[in-house]
Amino acid sequence: MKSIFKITCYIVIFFIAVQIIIGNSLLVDFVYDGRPVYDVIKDDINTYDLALKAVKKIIDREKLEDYAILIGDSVAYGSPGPSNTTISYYLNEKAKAEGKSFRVFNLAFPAMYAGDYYAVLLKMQKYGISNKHVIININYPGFAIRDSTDLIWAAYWLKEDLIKDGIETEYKMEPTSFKKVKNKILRNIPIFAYRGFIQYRFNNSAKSIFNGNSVQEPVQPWTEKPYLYEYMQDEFIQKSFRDKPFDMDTNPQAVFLDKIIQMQEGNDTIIFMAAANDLLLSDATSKPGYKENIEKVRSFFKNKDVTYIDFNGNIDYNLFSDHLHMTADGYKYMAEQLWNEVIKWDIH
Amino acid sequence: MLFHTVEFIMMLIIAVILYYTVPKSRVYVLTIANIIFYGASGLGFLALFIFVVTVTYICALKNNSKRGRLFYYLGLAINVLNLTFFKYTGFVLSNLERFFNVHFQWQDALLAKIILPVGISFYTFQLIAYLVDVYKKKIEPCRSLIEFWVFIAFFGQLIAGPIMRGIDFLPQIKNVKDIKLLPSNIKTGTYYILMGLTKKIVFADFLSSRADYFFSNAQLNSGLDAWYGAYLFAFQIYFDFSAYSEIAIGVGKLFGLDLTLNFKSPYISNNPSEFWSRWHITLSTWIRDYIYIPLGGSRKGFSRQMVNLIVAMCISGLWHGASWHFVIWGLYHGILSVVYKIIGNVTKNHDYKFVNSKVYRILTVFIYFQLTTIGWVFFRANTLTDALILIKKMFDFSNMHFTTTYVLYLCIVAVLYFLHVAEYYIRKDGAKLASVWEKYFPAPVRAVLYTSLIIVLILFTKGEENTFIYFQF
Repeated sequence: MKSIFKITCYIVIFFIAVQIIIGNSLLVDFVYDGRPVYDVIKDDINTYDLALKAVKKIIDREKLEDYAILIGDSVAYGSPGPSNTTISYYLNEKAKAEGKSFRVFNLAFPAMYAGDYYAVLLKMQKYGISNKHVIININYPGFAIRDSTDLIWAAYWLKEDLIKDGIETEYKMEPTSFKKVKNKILRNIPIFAYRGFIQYRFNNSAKSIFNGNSVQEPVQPWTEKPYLYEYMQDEFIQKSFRDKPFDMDTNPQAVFLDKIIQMQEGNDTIIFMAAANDLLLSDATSKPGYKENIEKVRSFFKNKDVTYIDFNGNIDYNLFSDHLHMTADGYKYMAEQLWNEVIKWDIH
Repeated sequence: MLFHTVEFIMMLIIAVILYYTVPKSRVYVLTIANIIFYGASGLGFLALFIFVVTVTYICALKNNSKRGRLFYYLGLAINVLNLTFFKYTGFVLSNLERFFNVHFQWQDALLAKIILPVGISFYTFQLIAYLVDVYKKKIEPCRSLIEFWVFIAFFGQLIAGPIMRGIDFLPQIKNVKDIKLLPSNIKTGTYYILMGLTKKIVFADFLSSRADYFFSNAQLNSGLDAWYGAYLFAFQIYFDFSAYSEIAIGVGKLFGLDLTLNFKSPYISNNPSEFWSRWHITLSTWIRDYIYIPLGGSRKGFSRQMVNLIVAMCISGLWHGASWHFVIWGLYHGILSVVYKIIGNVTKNHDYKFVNSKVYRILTVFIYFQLTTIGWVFFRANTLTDALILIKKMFDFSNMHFTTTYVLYLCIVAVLYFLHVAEYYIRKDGAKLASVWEKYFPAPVRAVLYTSLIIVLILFTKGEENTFIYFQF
């Protein structure tokens, strides 16, 4: 039994050593490949924090002082394209081309809303990531579909963070269960925390061996997707672009955008409204109520200490990949427009 | 509760510690562990299981009474009905509908309520074997309900076997108090558990999604794709099922209990008889002892023996799942066995030297592995039509074009087969290898390998969505 005990002790020591190595190692790319890895994080939103940690690691490793954080939903994330066709990618290319060490980190995540953005800013504080330069993406559905008297509706992914921050809500958090406690413990053990990301990488490599290589096709413009017209009749899409008047005093998106603006006081902040594809959504966007709502959002930002850019009506329709998202050229165009504002900041 | 979950590992560690610290209460420790283990799948299932176990226990106890025969049939009937109701109701109803061209309006509502209790096929067969053995006076009925419960519900093998016999397992449980804590048992137990977890997590789960890819596109596959998918599944099911059995053996060893080895490198077999003595051994012997022999076995002439073989194999297929493609899989193996017997019968008076050569052995192992792989298509395909499409493609040699991708596929299959053969030699020379390992490699070096293995297992674990294939049977 002595030899078994001895071996067990060695295993425990080695296991702890491996945890220290993983926790401090270069798994940055596994978690953040120019943006948080959606396919893994969507299954456990708690792992989103690892993306923030990864960004912090890059900032520390490269001793960066001039950087901006891009927060937003699937548009800022760059869906449906790969990570080298996103707004943040093109902004970084711009900075590089102009010989600046300035960097943009993409912490956007599909289906995030203003409440989530606010929680992300809180998390940035927690991890020591500067909010000196922040670029935020909003869109019309954020106001339309998340309209509720309960402010928790401002968030999709990070509700619990808002509740911990003291938001009053009727939303009930999942009660503490054995599974929840177990997951919380395991999240603090690096090998369990990073497991999903390592598996994802491994599976992608293995898939190309076992099932043949598949080269990702460039994202096609919406005109190549006739099925989109039918999709626009979907109840969710209809609700997302409805013309019910926005009440900018109570709308959860507006309330949290106000909080964000307060939080960003004295810092550089750009908030941009993603454009809607008026040709595809003509039924909804041609309504006077819709146009009034867009105007309300514009007015909301008028006297605020942020730069507001509305892309509605300012993008060539051929650059849309669907009703809201862009092709690679579309995101490149948006990055160029944003760069015109970013360059006004005190960056090097 | 799955073997590759933190919950199970915690429960196992606690149970082992209690088991050796309180020797007098060992049977109670195992009883409670079994209840927790099975109860995790649902309290309703647990209640049903306890009921069936208790009724079987009482029926066996009454074996020597005047109405012993009645109780025997009662016990059998309850077990068979329990299995039939939960597992075959849908199958029976849908076939009745098809046969009589009728539609039962209430069928969907009824089937939605019937959820297959985990491990039902395994515990039913173990209970039936016990009843028959007691009835035939091969064993004495167990006189302690708790010991009987531990025998049937031992959490190591409850869900997917091995199907233990009373003659082997009951005496061990009876003497559980006398089992000593032996380092060799802990080492062997841990070895089997790690081996099983590696097979399941690293190989079976990994192959699963790849095999699924080919089986979900039956129509789109080329002939070579179909072969590749079938090979992948052949190894997936082997790794998956033998993994469970080996973990079961390992868990048993930790408690000083010996469970039957269920798999012995089956793909090195060169004929059906050898295959079934290497594949799911406890089920094969169960079918032999409780179906094939009672049907007459080989005692009633050659042609009757062939019929018995086919019937027994079809029942084995049906046991695996309530669907015709499982029956066809059983029938296919029945036919292979019949053909093998006929060939044996025809050639028995001839002395072919070639038959005893290594070349013959390698050739027949290769051929029989292909035949087994074809059989797996029936087993795995989503429908019988899919199976027939895939098999047709596998034999459409005119459309087979070897590209570099297929050469790579072939290499992958070759590596998997190599691992299979390597496992055979490792098992064969296990004791020798273990002593070399301990003698020449110092503890820190061994610990590095064990830690690496643990890390790999943690990294490969996908979570609770990846259950063992045989859990559904």
